[in-house]
Amino acid sequence: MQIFKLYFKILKNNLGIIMMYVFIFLIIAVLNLSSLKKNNNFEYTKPNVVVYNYDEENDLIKYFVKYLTLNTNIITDIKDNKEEIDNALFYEQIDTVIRIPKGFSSDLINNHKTSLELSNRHNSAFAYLTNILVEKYFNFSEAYEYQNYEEMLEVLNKNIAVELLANNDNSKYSVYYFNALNYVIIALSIYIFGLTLNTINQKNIKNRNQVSPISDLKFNLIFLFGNILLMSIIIFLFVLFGLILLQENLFKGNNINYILNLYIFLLPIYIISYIVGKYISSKQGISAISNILSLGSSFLCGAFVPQEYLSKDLLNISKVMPSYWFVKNNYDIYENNFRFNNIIPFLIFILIFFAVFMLLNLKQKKLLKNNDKIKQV
Amino acid sequence: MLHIIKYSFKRLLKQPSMIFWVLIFPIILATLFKLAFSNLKETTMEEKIKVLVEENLKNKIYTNSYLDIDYINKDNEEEINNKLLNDDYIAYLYLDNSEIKIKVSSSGIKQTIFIEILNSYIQQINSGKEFTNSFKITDESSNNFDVIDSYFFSLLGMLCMFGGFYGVDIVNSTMPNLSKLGARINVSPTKKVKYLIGNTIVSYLVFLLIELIVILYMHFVLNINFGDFASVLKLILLIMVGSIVGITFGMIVSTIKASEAAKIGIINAITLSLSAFAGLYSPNIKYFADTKLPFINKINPTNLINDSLLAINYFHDDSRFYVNIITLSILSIIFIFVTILILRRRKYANI
Repeated sequence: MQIFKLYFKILKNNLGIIMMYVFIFLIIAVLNLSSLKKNNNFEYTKPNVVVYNYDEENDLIKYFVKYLTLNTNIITDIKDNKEEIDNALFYEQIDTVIRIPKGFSSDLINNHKTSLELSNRHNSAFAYLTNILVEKYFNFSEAYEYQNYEEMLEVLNKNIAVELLANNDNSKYSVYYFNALNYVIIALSIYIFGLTLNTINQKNIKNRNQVSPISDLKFNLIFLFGNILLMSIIIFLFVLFGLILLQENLFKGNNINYILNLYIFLLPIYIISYIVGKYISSKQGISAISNILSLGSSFLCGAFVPQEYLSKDLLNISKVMPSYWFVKNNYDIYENNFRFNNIIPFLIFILIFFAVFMLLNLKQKKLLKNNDKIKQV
Repeated sequence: MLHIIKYSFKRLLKQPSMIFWVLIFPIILATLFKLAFSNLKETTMEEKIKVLVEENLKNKIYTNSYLDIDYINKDNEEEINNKLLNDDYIAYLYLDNSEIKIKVSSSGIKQTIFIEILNSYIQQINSGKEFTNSFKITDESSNNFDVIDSYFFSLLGMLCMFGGFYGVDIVNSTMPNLSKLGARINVSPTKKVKYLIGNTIVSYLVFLLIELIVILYMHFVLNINFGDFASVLKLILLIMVGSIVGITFGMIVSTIKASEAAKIGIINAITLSLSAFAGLYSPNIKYFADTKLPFINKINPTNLINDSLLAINYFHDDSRFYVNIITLSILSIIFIFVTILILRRRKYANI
């Protein structure tokens, strides 16, 4: 119990940074998930447009806007100046700017000048869709001889019947959420293991502890237990938060596999963290490694950007990291393909990392022995 | 003075954690951005839309240069479903009691375009009118945007603010109440201001050199385009002013009563939050901050740097660039002034 208390005392001093990691992760998770939507029917994708009308108010324009309201998202809070439009186009907030010039309607109706200039996002499929819609409206209004707009809109609203193939009814929410956990788990695990082990391995403290009646093994085991317990609690909180955020029953059917996959993934991560904590002597070094490994594995293995968007060569390289298999397993669970085979890579990693750990340990013991001999001489 | 410069330089080289944050970390992050985002392109019309059509309709439907049509036997339902779910085919078109129907596996922009083309065709028939289809859009496209570049630009903004580490180091090594080195220097006959200036110049030059290495790495290894010669000159000006803001920001932080580790933590936390608003984690956050919290982003140095680089390379908006660089200059002048105000005329009888 004494040692356990010491463990939490060390931890208390660094609670701020641990909380920071947790909060940053939660904020990013909420921001990302709020942009996803869930659907069971086919929905027309709507391009984002802004409309500036410098022409007079008339039926042609009035019904044009009405038609656009039905088929596009009209964005209204962007003023017609270069900076705001540049920003909105660049950040994909709008796809097309429709600027109706003065005298456009009378040119169209009386002079048969049949064109309109649109500013599009370069090469964007959404802008292409807007162009189809705009051309369609004006071609129809010509065929209707610029009258009977109500009747025309009725025809324009009759669409082909579309059937959406029955897909997996689970949403991909859970996959994204659990994938993103890769970052925070690796960052926190290395940080917490590293920090606590680093503190007790400082020369003065270590020497002091070694003369105490408590054996080295017991001391190390209790610290290991403390780390694992703490990480498990933090991860349990993440799962709990996911449960609330995703509003999905994680204990239903296959969903429990996400949690299973997560806890198996933790084992190789614990071993890496233990090695880092034991053999990296400076705190700055530990924070550097924690940053590099967590960000690196998340970017390279598809935890942030879905794996299907990464290049094949990159993914082949990523296979040497446990994170790759963790992310891949989450996709497999989503597709109901999670089998025992999926956890084999983790078992291999555990064996490899454990072997590395034993080798390092052996080497250190040899060194210590040699040092003792030198001293005796 | 030369003596001071020589030793400041030597001291700077012996600080691996600083080198990590200003050199290694940005390079690694930039490489990760490149690896992860290089395949991430928005949906464009360069790729054809692949669709399946019932075999009986061969030669009966009109095609379009954007469509790539494959014909398939109607009875082969399992194969159709498989192709929709697993291959690149986005839709299947078939006749059901002489009514045209479409099957898709998901909603999306390509599906919508395909269906909208068919809708136009069928609605024209339904209306019973005559069409000339003479109305045409003239497309005035914007420049070829690549949102991914926004990540690299805000990374440079973050890097400038990491100059804060140098700021902390300068003040810590000069002030007698902060380090043993400072105490030693203070009892020497050299004027403190001389030491401070020499130290600052060396740190500034070393920092600029490191930033140059990162920029060269981005340009030559990661193929990030910084534009023509004039744009590169503007980039250099921007980095020079931005680094002053970063270093002086660190100097102000270092006058706070806290341990050195805590100061580094504060700089890290502030820089990363500012970078978040500048779009380092997601360009959408920058857009949100630009439109909803303009008072933050108009003085956020990280954002000013990112925004200026976008203005130079994408928007070709010189006035926006100059407004940003003037704001940065004003910020750096304020920071320098505050630092001098805090650090001047401190005397110690004992420490």
